[in-house]
Amino acid sequence: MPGEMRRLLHTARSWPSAVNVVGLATIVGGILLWQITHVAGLITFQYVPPPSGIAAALADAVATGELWSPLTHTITAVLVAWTVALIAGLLLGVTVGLLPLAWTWSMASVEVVRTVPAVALVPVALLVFGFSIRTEIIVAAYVAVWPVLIAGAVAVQSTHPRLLDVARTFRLSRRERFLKLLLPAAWPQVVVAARLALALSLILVVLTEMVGNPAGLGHALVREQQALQPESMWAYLMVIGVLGVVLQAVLNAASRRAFPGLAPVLATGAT
Amino acid sequence: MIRLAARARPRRTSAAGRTSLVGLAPLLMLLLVWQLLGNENSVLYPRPSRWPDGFASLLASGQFGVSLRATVTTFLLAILAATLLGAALGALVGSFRLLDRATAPSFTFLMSIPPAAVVPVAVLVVGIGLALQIGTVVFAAIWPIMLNTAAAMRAVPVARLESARMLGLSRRARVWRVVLPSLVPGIAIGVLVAAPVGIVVTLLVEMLTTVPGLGSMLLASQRSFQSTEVFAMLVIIGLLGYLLNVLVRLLQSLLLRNWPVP
Repeated sequence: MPGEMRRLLHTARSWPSAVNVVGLATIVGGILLWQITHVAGLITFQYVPPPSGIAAALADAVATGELWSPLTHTITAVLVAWTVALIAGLLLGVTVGLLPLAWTWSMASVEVVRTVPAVALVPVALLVFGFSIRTEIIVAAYVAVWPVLIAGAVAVQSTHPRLLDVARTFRLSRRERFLKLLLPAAWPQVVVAARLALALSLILVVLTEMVGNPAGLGHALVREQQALQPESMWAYLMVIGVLGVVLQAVLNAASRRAFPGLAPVLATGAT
Repeated sequence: MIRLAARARPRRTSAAGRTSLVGLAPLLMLLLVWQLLGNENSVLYPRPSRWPDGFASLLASGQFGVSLRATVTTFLLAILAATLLGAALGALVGSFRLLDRATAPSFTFLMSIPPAAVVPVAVLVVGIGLALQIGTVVFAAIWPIMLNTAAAMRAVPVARLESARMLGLSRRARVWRVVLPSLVPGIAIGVLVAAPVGIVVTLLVEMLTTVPGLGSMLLASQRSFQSTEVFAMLVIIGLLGYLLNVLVRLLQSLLLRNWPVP
């Protein structure tokens, strides 16, 4: 598709989604409804506090500074794990994608290792690496590396034959062919995989904190639950959810800026 | 994930791209090296030849059959619930643009909450039990089904709907005989993506709430430092995950083989 057309498509799609008034109104309305039913006494669940209570607990955690140490701990672990997964996955994936022999002699192992459900690894990792942020990073990076590896390999390997013909016609060197053609052609799939890897990193980091390493937001959540503090527990749940949204949004914005041509891919993937 | 499936590009017809069995070599090498270099009585890294011992002691505890049945039942019930709910939600969101825009940010927020984080909250609110397990799995697995159904709904050709109306089909008949069949391929792709997520979350909830199941057995083995059992469980869970995924894939291809609508 010509660049002109893509840009047009991009603006047409991103303009209305820039501010989704109806969508935000739904959220605000939902919160209001929750509060009102609570005040009116329609919600009788013992551990569902009203939004005002959750907000108060959150404000308290911010004021006392209790929120910051788990928040920064979790963010650090997620970002380090994601970076490691991205770099390792890209290097391995592109290698496997470029060398048919490497593909043949490794992909079956990748498929087998990948089928072991991720959560089953957490107890094993805790057993082997102990209770530390290192364990969180290792588990998260290990799980997040596979989608990137596979996306990179498949993307490079399945480059459209016509593009390769173009490279031949222009007599591109191997290096140029790789940098100017194969890599850019692989980006859309790699960016999608990078988003998945980020989501997986957050999931695994929080999980490891919940079952093992006593630090971070996951641990805070479990601690508040065990202390029967529903307000702070809900507050931490909201923080974790918002963290997920913010991380994805930042990655989206960054990849949109870095690769303007990918905007349509990203816009539709974001639904 | 969903995009990757939808944008499959033509592949070069070379030997590469197909997974061949020799690709298992690195994994087997690793296990062999482990076996040869491993310490006989290592607490953390038991040699692969000792893993069957772990399996035997799991079987001897008498818990294994019950746990396996519990995990598989929970998974199947939850995937069924996620499919019905996700398809219904997806069809609604796909039909009404305003509803789509109104709910999209809320769904995005819910999607980005790690399923594990919901468990402690749900334990307090709902209490430990099958409802909690199924609810959490549905919470995690419903999204791919919903998104794919919504995409399929938007892609139903207008001509198809209009010709159904022109033929004088009642509203009910249109839904059951025109719209629903058009959605089935989309729903099937969603279930395919959701199934691995469902297995993971099923195990996860078992681990976090210690209800009977393979997940809680694994955690119990780890907590008592029975590393041979831990690695045996890992192999079993890997196999189970693989088999369940094969099952879902098989059902999908059987269902779609002669499906009239692409």
